[in-house]
Parts: sequence; C-alpha cells; structure tokens
Amino acid sequence: MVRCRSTKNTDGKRMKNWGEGMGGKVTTIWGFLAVMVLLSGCATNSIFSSYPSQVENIKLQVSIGDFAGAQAVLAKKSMGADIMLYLMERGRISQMAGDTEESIQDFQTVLEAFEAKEAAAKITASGVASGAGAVMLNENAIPYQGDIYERVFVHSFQALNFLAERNLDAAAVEVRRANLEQKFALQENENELIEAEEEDEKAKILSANKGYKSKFPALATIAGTVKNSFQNAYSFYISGLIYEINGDANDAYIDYKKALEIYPGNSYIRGDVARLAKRLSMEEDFEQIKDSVSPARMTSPAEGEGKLVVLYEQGYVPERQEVNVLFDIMGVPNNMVFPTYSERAPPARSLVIGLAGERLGETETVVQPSAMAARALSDRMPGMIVRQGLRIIAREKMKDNQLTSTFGVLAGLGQFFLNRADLRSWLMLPAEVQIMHAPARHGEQILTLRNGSVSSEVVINIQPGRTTVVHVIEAGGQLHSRAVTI
Amino acid sequence: MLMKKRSAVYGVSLMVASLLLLQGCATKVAYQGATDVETTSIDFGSTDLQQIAVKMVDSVLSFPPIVQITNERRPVMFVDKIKNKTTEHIDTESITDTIATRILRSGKFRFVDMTKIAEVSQQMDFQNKSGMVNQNTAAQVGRQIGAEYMMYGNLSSIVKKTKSVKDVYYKFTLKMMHLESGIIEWSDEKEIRKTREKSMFGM
Repeated sequence: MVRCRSTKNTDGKRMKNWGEGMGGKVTTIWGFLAVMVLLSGCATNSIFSSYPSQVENIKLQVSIGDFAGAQAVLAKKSMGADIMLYLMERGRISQMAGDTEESIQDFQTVLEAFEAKEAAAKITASGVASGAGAVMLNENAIPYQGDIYERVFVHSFQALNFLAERNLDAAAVEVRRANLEQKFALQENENELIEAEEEDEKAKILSANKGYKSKFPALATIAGTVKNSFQNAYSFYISGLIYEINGDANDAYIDYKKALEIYPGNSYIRGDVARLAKRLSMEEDFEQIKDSVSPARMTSPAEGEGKLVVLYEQGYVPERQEVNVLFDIMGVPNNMVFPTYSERAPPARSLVIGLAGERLGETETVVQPSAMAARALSDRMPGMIVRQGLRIIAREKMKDNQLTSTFGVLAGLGQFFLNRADLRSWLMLPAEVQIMHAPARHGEQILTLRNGSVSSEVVINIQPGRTTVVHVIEAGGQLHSRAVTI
Repeated sequence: MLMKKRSAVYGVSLMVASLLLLQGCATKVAYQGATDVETTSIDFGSTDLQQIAVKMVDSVLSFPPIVQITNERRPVMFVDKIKNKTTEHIDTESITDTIATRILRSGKFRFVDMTKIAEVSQQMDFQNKSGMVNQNTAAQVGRQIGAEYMMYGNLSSIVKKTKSVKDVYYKFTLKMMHLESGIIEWSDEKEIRKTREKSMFGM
C-alpha cells in the first residue's frame, strides 16, 4: 500500500505542472482519482516491476531450499488482483516442499477462481474498469486471467496431490476435469476459427498487420512445435494411470490412447496402449500398434512384482521477454511493446532410474509446457495487437476531446506505463515433463534418480500387484521427490 | 460558466462511481429452510442430494418384492461406498448417509456400519482381552449379525458447455443385492439436469 501511495504522489506533482488555474486543479483531482481507481489493483506490483523479476528472487529461495521464505513472499503478494497467478506459484512451491495440504488449498482456490471467471456475467463493472485501465495504461492493469494450459496443469498437479494422500476418488475427479477442460477448449478453438470476423477498427488493425507472426520469428518456431496450447498428454497419462490403479482397464485404455495421440513419441505410453489393447481383446487396435512397440515396454508385473511409475517434471518454463515491434495503426507506423519467448527451454535431460543398484531405465518426454506457453501467447497475439492499436487510436482521439487536459494527464501517465509488456505467466511450471514405468521386485529398496551431475535417493516399498508412483520435481538444480504405493 | 458546469458533471459522476463501489459493502446473513430449492451455483448441491435421497427411499420402500420381504422381519443391510464418477468433488458418503437414515427410520431394514469395523474391533479387544472389563458384561466376540443385503451404486455426470451456457446431467444409480444369491433385488436411478446461462451484466 505504501508503495502505491508514493507512486501516486510523484505523479500528482507531475500533473500539477500540466494543469492551468482553477480548471486545471479540478482536472488534476479528477485525473488523480481516476488513476487511483485504475491502479487499485496495484498491490500486485506487476504494473511497476516486471513479473519475471519478482519471481527471480523466489526461484533463488527455492534453489537453496528456503521454501518457507518463498511461500511467505508469495503470501504477501497474493492479496491483490493477480491472486490466481501467485497462488499457482505458491501451490507449486508447496508441492516441491512436500506440503501437500497447503498445495491442495492453493490450487483449490485457483480452480475456484477459474470457475468463477467462467460463470461471471459477460460484462462486469470490474471488468470494464480494468479493461479501461488497460486501454489507458497497459495490459498489466488487467487482473491475471490464467490460460487453459495452466488450468489443465493445476488440475493435473492437484490430482498428484490427492494421489500422494491416497485419495484416489478425488484424484480421479481432478484428472477428469483436466480432460474435460481440454475437450471444451478444443471445441471452442474450432468455433473461434469459424467466427473470425471482427468489427471495423479491429478488423482494420488486423488486416493491416496480417504478417504479424513474422515479426516474432522465435515465438512462431517454438509455438509451432505443438498443435495447440492446451492438449496435454501428461494429464491423460495420469488419468489412465489412476483408472488402471482403480481396476478400470477400459477407461485407462481410452486415456492412454488419447495421451499417445497427443504425444506419439513416448514408448512407455505406446507400451501401455498395446498391453491394454491385448488384454481387452481390442484385436484391430492391437494389430495396428504391435509392430511399433518394444516388448519390454509391454510387460506387466509378474507374480510377486509391483509396478513402478516415475513422473519427472523438469526445470522452469522460460520467462516472457519484452520486444519492440513496429506496427501499422491506421496507416501510421507505431512502435509497440510485446511479450515474446525468444529462447527455447534448454534441452531436457532424461532421468536415469536405478533400483537396488541396477539400472532400470530412463524417462521419456510426454509434454513440453514451454511449447504450450509459447503457443498460448502466440494465439493471444492478434488480441494484443488490436488492444494496443485501439489504445493508440483512443489517445489520438482524446487529443481533440473537450476534456483535453484530463486525458492529457492520463495519456501522459499511460505513456509512462505503456512501455511495459505483459510478462505475466505461471513461471514455476516445469519446462518439460517425462515419465517412465517398469515392473519391479517387491520389497523395500533404494531408488536412485540421476540427472547428469544431480542425483538423489528415495526409499520405496514395492508391493506385489500394487503400483508405486514416484513424483520427482527438478527445480533450481535440486531433485524433490515423493513416493506413494497404492 | 463552463467551469461550474464541468464541476457539477464531475460531482455527479463521482457520486455515481462511489455508489457503485460501495454497493457490495453490506454483507447479509440469513437463515433458510434446509429443504428450500438452492440454486447458488450449478455445482452439485443440497437440493440434488435431497431429491436423490427422497426418490431412492420412496422407490425401495414401495417396491412390491421389498414390501413382501420386509413384511414380517427387518433384514440387515450394509451400504457400500457410492462411486463418484463425476467431475466434481462430491461427498457421496453424505448421500448414502441420508438414504440409509431414511430407510432405517422407516423401520423396514436394519444396518451394519462397515466404516466402523476398526473401532469396533479395538473396543472388543479392550473388553475381552485387556482384563479391565467384567467379563459378565463384555460384548462377546463372534456374535455380530451378518448383512443379508448390500446397497451400492454410482453417481455419474455429463457436462457440456459453450461460452455462455453450461449444462450438467447427473445420474445416480442405486442397487440392492441379496448377498448370498447375488441377485439384484431392486435398482433405481435418479436423473437431474441443470443449466446455467451467463447474464449480460454484473459487478
């Protein structure tokens, strides 16, 4: 709060210089109030300091294992308009720290916020206010909305939380929701492609800048590696796994198949599909897939063996960066600021798994959140171009308005804040997720996890006919893991 | 002149703005009837639970073969967990509790509670093995009555939504099985469908 006030005071001084006489004073007060209302969400700080720079310190705390410190910093920030964003970060950190209860709480709140946003009226007073703020100032003034790919990951991580608590029913609910959201998003995506017609000004801005993608070459490349931003083979794999643990082989088969459809390169999932196709006597399906499966991936646990599953979430998604790009707005070239991804996430390394001194196998990629995040941003680009364009047009128009001085003040402020792109996104999300599974002898054993120079040991208890799930998160060069046998 | 007019405009608009901002300030708490129809959100709620329980209990108690079975004796039943196959976290135990309580209150059936086995056996051990309880008053082990019937079922849902409409369909299925023969003596289902349409304006 203190921070908000001090910023406004400095701006107040600036405004006084611009005002003239009595009218100037009234205008100044009015402008001042307007700015106060527009910035009422300023507790989030993203308007003043870029989001990635805020998270930088938190990442540092995580890398030295100071989870409590990181959680405390986020607790302070999560009171503002960007509550969803900060709670996603905190829920993830709690998960790394092994505070499953806290993680469930935070993710629950985030999911309720997603739900509430969906149920909200089409036009809301608060939406209009923050939208107006965004037109006058910048995109950071809009409370963080969350993206579908983030929602799907929240559901998936929540499912893993419930799994860690051995609450299979609740875990199943979460993965079903994750899958349902993807279905809706796919449906929505198709609808949007059909109704791409836009109104006047928006259409003009867009048609003048049709080749916008070429202005963000790196983004286009990264985003191009996935079909869409939300389809997530990991969530389908977890879903299949939970169904299989529950003994619903048919449901498991359907979800494994979907996972493979989304990410065909994973030999473990291919093995699962083939194994269940055979078991469920899906002869045609089995004929189709059997030649592309290695027999080792298809083996079910033998008598006295259990199933070991390793879920490996590696690194952090890259941060968004700011770029200046020249766009044509109503025939005039304008310099505008945009968020973009300019680098790929560093190539992921597999986790090598050893059990009781023997090498059991290594993990394989199932989803790349970094590519999904880039795709989501790329999909939002036309909207951002239009909003920035409208902002420029609005400010041009205001120059001729009778309330010139008022809006001059606002526009001036806008100019000040305008040169900030919206760099917000869930940054504790892993850059890549990999999986591995294999049958294992029963008994208490030491599981070794090795990724290059980083290694860690976990004691697991494999039980005959049961499944042991080891959830490993690599963050800041540390491996955090939790294991559960169900 | 122009100046004054302008200030007036500002004044009015400020007032309107303050009114808008303050509108949500008065929080109101009120008691409602427990069985009143509740439509706060589209999620599974108390009205759904009550509708399901009422339908199931009426159905099982009025089913002719069941009426016949319970005519002269009160068979013992146990209720298995209801499987939640929906996309919501629903306390299905609460649904079965309501159903079991209503059936029990009808005087037609008696129940054994499988969720309390651990506690019961702990108490039995204490009474019979600890040496602290007068054996004349101790509950004897091995004299519990085996359940004759089992009640089980599932709750599933189909959810559809577009940008402005959400449609949820719930189907609750309950079955009653004669344990010894494996025959399903009774089964019924309750369907519920709800839609939510977004309003145009809101806070």
